[in-house]
Amino acid sequence: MGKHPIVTIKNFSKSFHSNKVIKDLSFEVQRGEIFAFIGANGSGKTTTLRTLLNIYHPDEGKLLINGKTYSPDRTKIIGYLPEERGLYTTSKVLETMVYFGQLKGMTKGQAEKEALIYLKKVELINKKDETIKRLSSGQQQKIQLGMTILNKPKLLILDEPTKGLDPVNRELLINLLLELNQKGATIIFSTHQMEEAEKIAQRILMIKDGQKALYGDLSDIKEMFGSNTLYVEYSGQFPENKKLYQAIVNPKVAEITPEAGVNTEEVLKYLINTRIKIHSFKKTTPSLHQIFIRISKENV
Amino acid sequence: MFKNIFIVAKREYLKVVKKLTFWLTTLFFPVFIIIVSLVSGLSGEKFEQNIENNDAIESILIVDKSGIIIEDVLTSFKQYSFGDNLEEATTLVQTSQYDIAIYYPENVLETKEIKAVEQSKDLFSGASATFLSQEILKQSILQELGTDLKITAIKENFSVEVTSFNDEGEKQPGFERFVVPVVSILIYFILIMFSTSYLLMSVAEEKENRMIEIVMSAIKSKELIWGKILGQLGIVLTQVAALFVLAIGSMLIVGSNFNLPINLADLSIAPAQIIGGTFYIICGFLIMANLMVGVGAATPTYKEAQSFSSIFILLSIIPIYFAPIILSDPSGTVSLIVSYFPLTSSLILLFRNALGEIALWESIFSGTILIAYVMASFYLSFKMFEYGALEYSKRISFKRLAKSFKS
Repeated sequence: MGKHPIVTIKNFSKSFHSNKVIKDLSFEVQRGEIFAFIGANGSGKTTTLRTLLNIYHPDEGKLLINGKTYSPDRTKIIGYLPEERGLYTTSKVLETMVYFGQLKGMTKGQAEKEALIYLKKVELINKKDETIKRLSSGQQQKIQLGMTILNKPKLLILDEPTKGLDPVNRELLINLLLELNQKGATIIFSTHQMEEAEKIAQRILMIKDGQKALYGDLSDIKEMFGSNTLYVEYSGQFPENKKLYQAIVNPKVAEITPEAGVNTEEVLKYLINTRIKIHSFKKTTPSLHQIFIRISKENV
Repeated sequence: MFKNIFIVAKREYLKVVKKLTFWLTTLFFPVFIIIVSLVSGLSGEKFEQNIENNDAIESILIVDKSGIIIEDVLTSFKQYSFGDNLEEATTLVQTSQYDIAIYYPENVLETKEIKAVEQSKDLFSGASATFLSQEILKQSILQELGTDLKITAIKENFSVEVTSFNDEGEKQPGFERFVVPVVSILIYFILIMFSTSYLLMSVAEEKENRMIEIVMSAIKSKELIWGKILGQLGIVLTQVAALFVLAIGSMLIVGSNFNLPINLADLSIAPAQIIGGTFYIICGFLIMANLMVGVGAATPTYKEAQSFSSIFILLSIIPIYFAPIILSDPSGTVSLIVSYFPLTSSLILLFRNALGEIALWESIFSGTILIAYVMASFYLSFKMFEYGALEYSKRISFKRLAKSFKS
C-alpha cells in the first residue's frame, strides 16, 4: 500500500431533513487497491459516494481525493458510475460517448479514438451510429460502462456497478475492473452482493445504519471472525437447528456457523445423525456473506 | 469553465436544430398563415372582380319609387328600362325578358332596404345583385355632385400624414409608431414560449434518463445550467432569424401584390431603443430560462414540470390583461407597477422602451433592477437544481428549498 491514500474520509456526517444518514464515518482508500464499500440498502453507501464527489455537501467532516475536496475541474482522473444511471436514449452511440469524453477533458479526437477502441473491444463497433434506444439493455449497459472508463481514470468510483447487469455483462465488468486495476487504477465500488466483493476486493468497509461496522483487509476480517466455519457438501433436505448453528444453505453446499459455546464437532455429529448425506466438509473462515449477515443482526 | 459551457451548449443546440421536426414546427404555422392569407386575399380580390365585372347581367329593369335613380348610370347595360311595380317586374324576370329587376322604395334612404329579383346564372348571382342594387343607388346620388374629380374624391381614400407632438418633442407618426413595440414583443414571446418548453424538456429529460448524476460528476452544476441556457438561446435565435427571413421574404412578395397598411420607410428606430430592447429581451429570457431550469430539476417528470411551469408563464403574461391601460398611458401608475414586478418587468419595460416612454434615469434604474432579478433567478434556479436534480421520485418542497437558502 502507498503511504498517501487516494481517498480520505474523516469524521463525515450527513443528515437529510432530521434523519442522520451518516454518523462520524472515517476511512481511507489506498492508491492502487480495489476497495469494496458494502452495506444493506439504505445504509448510506450512495450518500457517501455522492458526497465524496461533491454532489452532496457534508454536514461535518472532510472527504478528500488526493488530499483535496473533489471538484469537477479534476474530472480527468475520475470515472463515476452512479447507481441511478441511464443514457440519452435519442442520441447516437458514438456521439454520446464523445460528448462525455469531452466533458471529462478529452479532445474530440481523443474521445472518438478511445470510444472506437472500446466499442470494438465490446463488439459494438457496428452500432456506433445507432440511436441508443435501438440497443438492447445489455448493450446499453456496455455503453454506460464505456463512458465511465473512456478517459482511463486513475480512480474509479462505482455505485452498485453490477446492479441490473446480465451475467455476461457482469463478467465483462469484473474483467474490465481487474484489467484497469492491473494498469494502476484504484477502484472503489459499493455493493450489497457479498460474493462480488469477496471475489475482487482487497479491502472492505462495511457500513451499517450510517456507521462503520467493519473496515480493513478482507483476509484479516475473515480471520477475525474465526476459523470455525464449516463448508459442507451434501445431498438431501438440509436440517435447521437454531440452537446449534446458523447456516447459509444452497442446494448442494451449506455454510455453517456454530452458535456460541458449540464446536464444529458437535455440529458434524448432529448432521451425520440426520437423514442428509455428507459428501465432504471443510473447516475454514466464514464467507463475507456470513459475516455480513452476522453483523447485520448485531448492534453496531 | 467556458469550454464545458460551450460543449453543453453545442450539444443542446445541435440536438434540436438537426431535427426536421424543429424546422417543421418553426416554419409550419407562419407559412400556413401566409399561404392562407394569400389564398384568402387573392380569392377575395377575384370574388370582388367577378362581382364588379359581371358580364352575365345584360338587361335590367328598375322600379324606382324614390326618384333618385338616374338613367346615366344604366347606360352600360345592353338593355334597360323603368317599370311601375314590383309584381310586374318579377313576372318579366321570371319569363326571362330581363336578367334582373331592382325595386327602390320611396323612402329607401331612411329604410335602407332595396329589393332585387334575378335569374340565377352562376355562383356569384346573389352577390352581384346586391352589389349592383347598392352601386346603382350610390352612383345616382354621386352624379348629383357634378364633376368626376369630386366623385372620385369621395370614392377613394386620402393619404394623411400625421405628426404627433408631446412635451418632449416630436414623435413617430400614427400607426407606424406601434410596429417596433409589436415586433419586439413578438420576438420576446417567441423567445420565452419556445425556450421555456425546450429548457423544461431538456432538464426533465436529463433527469428522466438518469443522466444528470453522471454529468454532475464531470462538470459543475453551474456549467450545465449555463450551457443549457446558452444552447436554448442559440435555438431560439435561430428560430427568430428563420422567422425574420420568412417575414422579409413574405413582405417582398406580398408587398408587390397588395397594399400594406404600413409604410416601412416611415419607421425610425433610435439606437438607444435597440440597445434597450435587446437588453430587456435578454434579461426577460434569462429570468424565465433560469426559472424553467429550476422547475425542470425540482420536479421528477416532464409532465409535472410542465404543469408547475405554467404558474410562472401565466404570471409573466399577466400584463396582457392590463394592455389597454398600458397602451393609453405607458408611463402611468399601473405601467410603473408592472414594470418592476419580477416576472412582468422585462415585457413592460420592453414595450415602453419601444414606444420611447423610458427616460434615461429610468433606463439605468430598470437595468439595475433587472440585473438583480436575473441574479436572483439564477440563484433560485441553482438551489432548485442542487436540491432537486437527484430527487428522482418526488419534487422538492418549498419548505426544503427555504431551508437551503438559510444554509
